[in-house]
Amino acid sequence: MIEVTIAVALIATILVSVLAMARILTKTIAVVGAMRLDSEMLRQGIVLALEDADFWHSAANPDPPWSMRVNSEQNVDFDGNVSSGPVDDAANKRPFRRVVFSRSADPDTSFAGKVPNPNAMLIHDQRSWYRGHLQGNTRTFKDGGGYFSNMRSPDNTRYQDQWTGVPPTWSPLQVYGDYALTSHTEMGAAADPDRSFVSEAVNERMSGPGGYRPNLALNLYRTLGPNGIFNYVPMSTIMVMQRHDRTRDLRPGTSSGQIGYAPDALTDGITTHAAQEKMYDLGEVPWALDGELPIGSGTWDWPYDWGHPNRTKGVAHASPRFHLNQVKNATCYADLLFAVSPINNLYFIASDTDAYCLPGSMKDPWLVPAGLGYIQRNTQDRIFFPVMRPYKILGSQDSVFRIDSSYGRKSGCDYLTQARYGTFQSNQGGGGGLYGDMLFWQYMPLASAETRLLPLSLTGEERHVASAPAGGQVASLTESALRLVWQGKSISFFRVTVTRLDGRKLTVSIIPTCSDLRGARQHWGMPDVRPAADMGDVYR
Amino acid sequence: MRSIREKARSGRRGSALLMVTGLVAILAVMAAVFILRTREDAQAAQPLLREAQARIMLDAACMYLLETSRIGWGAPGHGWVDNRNGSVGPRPPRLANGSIPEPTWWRAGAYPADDSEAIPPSNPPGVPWDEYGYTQSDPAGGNDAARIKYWPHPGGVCRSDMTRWVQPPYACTAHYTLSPFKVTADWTSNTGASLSSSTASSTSKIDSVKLMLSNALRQGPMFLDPQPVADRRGDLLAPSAGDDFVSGKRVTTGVAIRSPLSPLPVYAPGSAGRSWFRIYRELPSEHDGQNIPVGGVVESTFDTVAVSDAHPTAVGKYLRSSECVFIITCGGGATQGFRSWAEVTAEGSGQLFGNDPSLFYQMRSQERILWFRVCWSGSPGGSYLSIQDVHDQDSSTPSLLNQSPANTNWNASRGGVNKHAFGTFSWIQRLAAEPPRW
Repeated sequence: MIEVTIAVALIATILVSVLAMARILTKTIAVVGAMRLDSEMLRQGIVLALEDADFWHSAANPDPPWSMRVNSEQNVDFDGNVSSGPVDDAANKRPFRRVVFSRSADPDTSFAGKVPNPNAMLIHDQRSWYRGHLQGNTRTFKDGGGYFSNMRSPDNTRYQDQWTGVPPTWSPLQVYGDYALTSHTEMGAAADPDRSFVSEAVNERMSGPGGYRPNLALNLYRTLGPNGIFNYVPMSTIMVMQRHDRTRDLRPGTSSGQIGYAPDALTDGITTHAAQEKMYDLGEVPWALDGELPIGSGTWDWPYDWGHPNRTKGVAHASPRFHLNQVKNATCYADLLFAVSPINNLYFIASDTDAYCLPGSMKDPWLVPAGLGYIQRNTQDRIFFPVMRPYKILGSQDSVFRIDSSYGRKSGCDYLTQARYGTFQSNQGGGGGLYGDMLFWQYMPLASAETRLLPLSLTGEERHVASAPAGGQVASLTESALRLVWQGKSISFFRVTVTRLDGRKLTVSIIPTCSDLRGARQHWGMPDVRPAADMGDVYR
Repeated sequence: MRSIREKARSGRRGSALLMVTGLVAILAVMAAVFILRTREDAQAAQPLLREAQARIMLDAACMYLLETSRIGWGAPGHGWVDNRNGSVGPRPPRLANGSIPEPTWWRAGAYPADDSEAIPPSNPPGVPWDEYGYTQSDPAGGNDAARIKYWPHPGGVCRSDMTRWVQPPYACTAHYTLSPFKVTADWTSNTGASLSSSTASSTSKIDSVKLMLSNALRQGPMFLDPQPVADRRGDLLAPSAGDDFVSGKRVTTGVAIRSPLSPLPVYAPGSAGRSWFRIYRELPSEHDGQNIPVGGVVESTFDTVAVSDAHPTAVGKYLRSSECVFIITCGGGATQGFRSWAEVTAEGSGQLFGNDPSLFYQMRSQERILWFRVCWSGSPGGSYLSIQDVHDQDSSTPSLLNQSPANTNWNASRGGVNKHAFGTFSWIQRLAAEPPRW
């Protein structure tokens, strides 16, 4: 009997042990299976994120789950019509809209129906060199933000050090910048020197080789927005795109002069060919001047107000007129002036209506007339790729990614979609590198495009609802893409997140070297990639 | 004859044995499943690892292109497209008579003359005529296996196996030391007094340190000095050892360095067979934006971007050469960057794969290969940031300094940060399919 009892107890113990072991093993298998699923999803997510990094699916692909046709189409108003607003209408700017470039690298074309070839003026092309007197200021502003100086107060101690070496009226164009590398005398003059600018009003094109850069900039601006321009101009380009505020008079002597740029000052003292003033070696970079260089001269004899370069200085005044649009008198002021001069830094002065897509502000509003916003690109600012928020943005609220409260609230935006351009200035939150401040991390999600990859949403409806698994019933895989330009570099930041059934999340972050916006646009413009899509870059 | 008790005891022994056996079998099966799944997971992760290895190669290849646009060809070069006259580069500096020497690496016929175009009478004497003309020719004559002999000629290919050296030549550590700098009038007695004062506030001392740093950066070029790994400098012709600064670590020590791979370097264990890259320099017709064969060169479907400047009338001739478009092939695997077995044999490297083409292609089948197309530009890019800004932004911290190239010739009025002396890339495009030449 005792043996039976012991045997039963032993058997029971063994059975319980076996069951417990089986239960533990089952659980273990389940956990291992779940971990394998997590790993598998993470692996797939990383691969998809890397594909996204190269082909920019989350910014361009019209198909689910990306569903980003909105980035290649013009905006549709509430009335169902394509918006016919001015070129600075933020809603008409899409980063993947089709741009038809001229196949010819010759700038002396009519550009009929095309945009000048952006590859024609690479920096090694002598035609793209600039030898004018708009070379960058070798004495940078003390203020790291690169603010415009107040030309009316050259004795302002804040900028005094910098004012000793540059003609006052030119200073805003000489913020930062090394010597110019740009613009060749062979660019030649525009056909009509008195009207060598690009007007937004009639969408005209500047004729002659001198129209190369203005035409390129204008067309890129009106289709892709400022973000597009950043990616197409040669590096080291300083681009002054100045939009005339219709309410102001920019003629010399008026208060608007404080904008700091008087085109009249550019109409004389020019060199049209190297043979006229061979003060530089045609073939060398940097140029070799054997005359007196105005920069740094202690005996500067320019008149204070809108003077002209002194020809006796022996300086190669090579044709800013060919690269900066200029006008003779007020009647020639069109609505929009595009002046692109490759120096080193970029400023963007936009009208009030551009405020929707041009966040950022002047730190000190007294430096520029009210109503002008601008994009400032200095060494530390981050310029984000625009993120579309379809069907989410109505009215002005949340229509612009703003950090600087001094920018002010703008009037309502009634478009169904709204590009969210953004800059993040280094002086916000202390700077300290790309990821070095809390504000950057705080606002980063606003500039990130999130896509739920699994489970697949065929409608794309839940594209931007990536925070939770669908219905809480299945695990989900989401990807977040943040693209920005910082210190002249294109940076892509991807985050892959697996949300498990229990709500816990696994996240992997990647910053790969990958295709830039131009590479992606060239990909989507290829006829065998997406024949029916009217998007990307085409050369004809 | 066994008793009933013995039989029963024997039965119990059998039951226990069965149960133990069963348990062991279960454990064995579970262990096998675990091991199998672990193995499967490891195997499943391999493609991702190869993807990562291949992607790293994009960085490596871009860096290689940037550096070799200026250096590595004897005298300093002026870019893949010469920034003086738009000719095919890199080419050496001008001679005393003002002419630009032909590139030393050119080996496919005569190098195109600089003044290949008719010089117009209006061109001033002494001013170089810059209408460079380049008539395209495929140096390999359509033989892809021979392209590797013609790098960096347009139409040529370079191959880079990325097995890591234990210590490459001129290796530097990530540690920097401060170079001595000149104390100038900016250094005031108050600065030193503040630092040495026992009564000065900490704020005052911090300000003094900032002033010192600012002065150092203004007045002291070579402020931060990278340190070599090796203790001895060495000499190319007569290296004192095989692990000095000049030679790097070599298998044979004390022998003159005849080439980067002779004597053979000491490779890091485990770094072989992981990744490689190849670069193909496109001919101008391959980036003229037209899918039309020129001179027998088969065009690719991605020739949709017009970069080259075609002559208006002469077919195959290009002005202001634009030979700055490259196909970068990034490989994660063990084929060491050979494209085909024909290329392996043409290079006499069959022994690397046991003279077995099937082994080579088996390795190829397990690789991850990515193709990118990049456009190099001679623009230095970057941004201008004077040290003045660093100081005045109150950001003169190691974090900011570390982002900047060390040993830059900094001063207050001239200098650059994040400028690339080797050029930049105008665009980088991933190719969705294998290009015809790589």
